[in-house]
Amino acid sequence: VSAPDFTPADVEALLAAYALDACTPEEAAAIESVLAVEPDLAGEAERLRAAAAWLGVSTAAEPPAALRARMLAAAAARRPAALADDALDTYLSLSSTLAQVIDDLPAAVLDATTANGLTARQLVVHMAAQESLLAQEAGSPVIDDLDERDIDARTASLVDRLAGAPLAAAVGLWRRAVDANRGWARDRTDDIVSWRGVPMTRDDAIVVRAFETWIHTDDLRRAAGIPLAAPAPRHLSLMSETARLVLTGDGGGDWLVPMDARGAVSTEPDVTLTANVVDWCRLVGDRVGRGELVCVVAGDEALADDLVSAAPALATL
Amino acid sequence: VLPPEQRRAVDLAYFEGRTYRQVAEVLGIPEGTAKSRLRLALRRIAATLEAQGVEP
Repeated sequence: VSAPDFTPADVEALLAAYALDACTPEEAAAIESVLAVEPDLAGEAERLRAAAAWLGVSTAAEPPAALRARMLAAAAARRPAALADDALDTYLSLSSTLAQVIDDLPAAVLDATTANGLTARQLVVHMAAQESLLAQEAGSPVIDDLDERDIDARTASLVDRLAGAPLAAAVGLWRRAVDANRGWARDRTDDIVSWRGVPMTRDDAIVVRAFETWIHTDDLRRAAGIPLAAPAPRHLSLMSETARLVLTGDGGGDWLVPMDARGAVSTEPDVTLTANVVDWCRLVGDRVGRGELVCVVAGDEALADDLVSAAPALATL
Repeated sequence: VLPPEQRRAVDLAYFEGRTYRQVAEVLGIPEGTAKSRLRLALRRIAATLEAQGVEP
């Protein structure tokens, strides 16, 4: 996607949208290139960014989780290397959305079966099992007497333990685990953690959790009959890095996928597969069938078919 | 602090993570109007904070 060519006047009109992260990544990049040579505009951008950081404080409601990461980034903005923490911001933002969707679930839906076979109530327990597993692997367990690493067994154990308890009990465990993971991710940016037997960087582990949080949020929405919603483009673009393709739409981009066992990437791809980024992420999350993906294939069609077939395996869920 | 139409635009952009184009679409207003509502809102907040002696 080519960056738009902005004049200083265009940038001035867009500064507030930029300060609120309400531009596309291409527009933000074009704005930043103008700010680099227009100190007055850069000063105004900083002023508006600071105002945006106070938005959560100015509301009576609990501020969105993303605000915390945003304020940390704002506080550290004077240090050039300390910019926004995309992985953590995505995880916290999508966790905040999940919390809202759980809050809004009608009681009648709690025992409805979701796309992954669990009931809505059990799916919340499953999320508590997953987030607390990461917390455990990262060295801050949040649930006493639960160290099972197999995720199905862990979920089953927690479902048994919480049988008869109100949904709020599962939500409380899930929140506590997300908080523990946030603390770990904030303080230990260079950690390697084992996630379901696979060593991962802190960023990868957090993005994997963010991705599954979105997919299960959609599962709950689907069970409740409310419209599905895609994450913000800046969050989508981070999560789709594990699926390197030509993905169109806000948050999309171009990636080269290592298709051989050695992970070698050729500069001349054998096939180019173009699809909408939201559709692709849902395919990776195994929430739409491969036959339902609308895509354009140029080149080796058999290889494209392999890629689409393997998509759900890319999620490392 | 903010007039309702500015508040709504900010809610959509900031709390719901929408782009200014999506804000315009949801509210049924031109993109330029969405941009200016966001701008007026943030300037108003900045001015309020500055009046209260809060350093940006």
